[in-house]
Amino acid sequence: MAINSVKQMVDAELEGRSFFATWRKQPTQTTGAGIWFDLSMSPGNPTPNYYAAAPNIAIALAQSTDGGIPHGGPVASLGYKKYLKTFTALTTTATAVPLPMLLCDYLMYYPFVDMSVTDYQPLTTNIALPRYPTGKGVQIMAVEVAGQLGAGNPKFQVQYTNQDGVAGCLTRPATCNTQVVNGTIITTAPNTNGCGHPFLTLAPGDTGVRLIEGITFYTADVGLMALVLVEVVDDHMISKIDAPAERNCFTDFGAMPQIADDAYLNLLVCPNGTLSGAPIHGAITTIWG
Amino acid sequence: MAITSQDALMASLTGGKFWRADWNKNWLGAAAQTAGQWYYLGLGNGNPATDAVIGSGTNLAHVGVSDTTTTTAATAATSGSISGTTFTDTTHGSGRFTVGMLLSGTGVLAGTYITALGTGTGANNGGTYTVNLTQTVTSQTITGTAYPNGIYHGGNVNPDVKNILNASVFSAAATTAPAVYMLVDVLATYAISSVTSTSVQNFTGQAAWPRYADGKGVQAFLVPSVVMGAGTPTFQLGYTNTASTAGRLTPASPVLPTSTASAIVGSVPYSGTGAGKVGPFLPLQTGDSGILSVQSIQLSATHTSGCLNLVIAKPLLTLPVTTVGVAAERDLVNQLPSMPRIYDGANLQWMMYAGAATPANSAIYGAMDFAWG
Repeated sequence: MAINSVKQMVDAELEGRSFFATWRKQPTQTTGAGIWFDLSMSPGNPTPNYYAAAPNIAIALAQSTDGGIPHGGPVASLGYKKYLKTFTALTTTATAVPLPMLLCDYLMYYPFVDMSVTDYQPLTTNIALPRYPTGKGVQIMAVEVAGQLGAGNPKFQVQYTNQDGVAGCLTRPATCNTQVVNGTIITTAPNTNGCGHPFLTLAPGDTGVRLIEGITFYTADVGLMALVLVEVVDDHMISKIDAPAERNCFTDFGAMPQIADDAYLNLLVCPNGTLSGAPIHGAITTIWG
Repeated sequence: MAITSQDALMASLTGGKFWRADWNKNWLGAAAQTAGQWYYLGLGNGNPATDAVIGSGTNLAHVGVSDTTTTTAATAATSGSISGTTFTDTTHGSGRFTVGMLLSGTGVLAGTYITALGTGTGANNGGTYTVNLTQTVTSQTITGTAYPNGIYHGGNVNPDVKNILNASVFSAAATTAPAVYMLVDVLATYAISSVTSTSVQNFTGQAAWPRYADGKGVQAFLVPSVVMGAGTPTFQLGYTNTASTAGRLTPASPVLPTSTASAIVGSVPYSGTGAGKVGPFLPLQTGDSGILSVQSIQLSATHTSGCLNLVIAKPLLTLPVTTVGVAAERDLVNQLPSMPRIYDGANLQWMMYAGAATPANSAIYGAMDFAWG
């Protein structure tokens, strides 16, 4: 089934097929202006995710095992599909705003990739993508998990299998920033040439990633990163500190992003200054039918 | 079929007939962007990657463009080599090399592509180009393949009809606002490397536009793929309008569009402030609302060097950005009911009007939602 009309959406609400969840994150890291940051690693609710597992071996993330922002239980077995209906966010910390946000379904990650090695590092994938199994729309983000130096803005390139199952695809070389705090999306910086994208640039014509095969750094640095496969669910922005930013996906933007069963939902943000000590609150409402 | 009601829209959204596209592009890298000028962001770095089809065709030849179009360039047999990060086209073979082209040949590392022009201008013997990967490749035939790298919009959906539901853009980089972004579907391009000619130059290999074949709403603009030299010629385009009337010309009154000396790659060289500046599109003759085909281009004076490209495009939406760090969001269902149609094969690219002088390579992020039914 699916919700196919406005009446069915109203009926779903009336019949209790909806879920409301709040979240509150308060980073301890001193983030930089214009540098994307992974809120999943920050203290708060839901509990932090540290991308900790055996190095270089793919690990899946799921609501049932890892948490993330709650969105209601599985509904596919009941014959339903689940959608994001509303998305609200606020902060009272001036250095945080304006604060663009991406609500993502974190699918799986490759932990503790060593940034000091310039040889090709093969990564091991013994599991399939837990959701979006073809990889269509799935993107790669590189999250700093042990401080780099970033001197000279090192570059790296990731080899992956694309959404059609074609192996050996290569991202465009990505450039590291000089930010040293954990949780930094290491390829973003507003004023560094080639650096500014939360997701790695895929090969021409590719629209997604099924798995990562390996990585090559062109110059050695120190530090560790996690390579994380995510599917973006929705975007949002907190513009001011004096009012919540509210979004009704359907009536405001004519869209109702689908949320897969057992999705691990969390947030990427692009602050305008430091987020250290900044409480960021919000809520989502999901609906299914 | 088409989406004709709120219920139909909801059914499409929840029935999987929906695609969300996130994109990240950099403002152009050659130099700071000038306030008051238009730019073609397809030639910028980012995600998706640089549009390498622009500038890759034979001089004055028609290249129809869809999202899956590829073009090629090649060195002559055994005359291409790579040393370090320098690719040398010792004797040119065919096509034109462009920034963003993926290179292939025996021993060429996978993923090698051109990141910058050296002494190469696309097709000159001995031209050099910078590539991304350090390697040593001895003399052989090296082939470049160009992709348009438009924003992916969910694939072909015929007989369904696809529409844009909403669009957003923001940047946290300094002085990236105010700005106006324009989404265009790029239909065709013609490389114009003969920029020293002041004669009427006729385009070749004409074919119908791959989309909007009736030409309604179709516009044209010029953009360099190689930095232009000295000279500030005016431009006059000869075209056929949507009523199939040939011999139409860019109007000379009040003044023909006037180029800018040393215009950077990606800039619309006749846009900006001052006399003779218009933009982003070449003005059409009075009463015309679109271009069915193009026949000729004439420069009033030499541009000395560089490579211009005539780009044929259909504008789809505009998105004003008022403030750095604040998303410009446009709901095209409820706020400005329009739901621009996206045809199968559309090659979606952004143009941008700089309202302020903006540092090169400033990062921009955005998203669009598409639905079909």
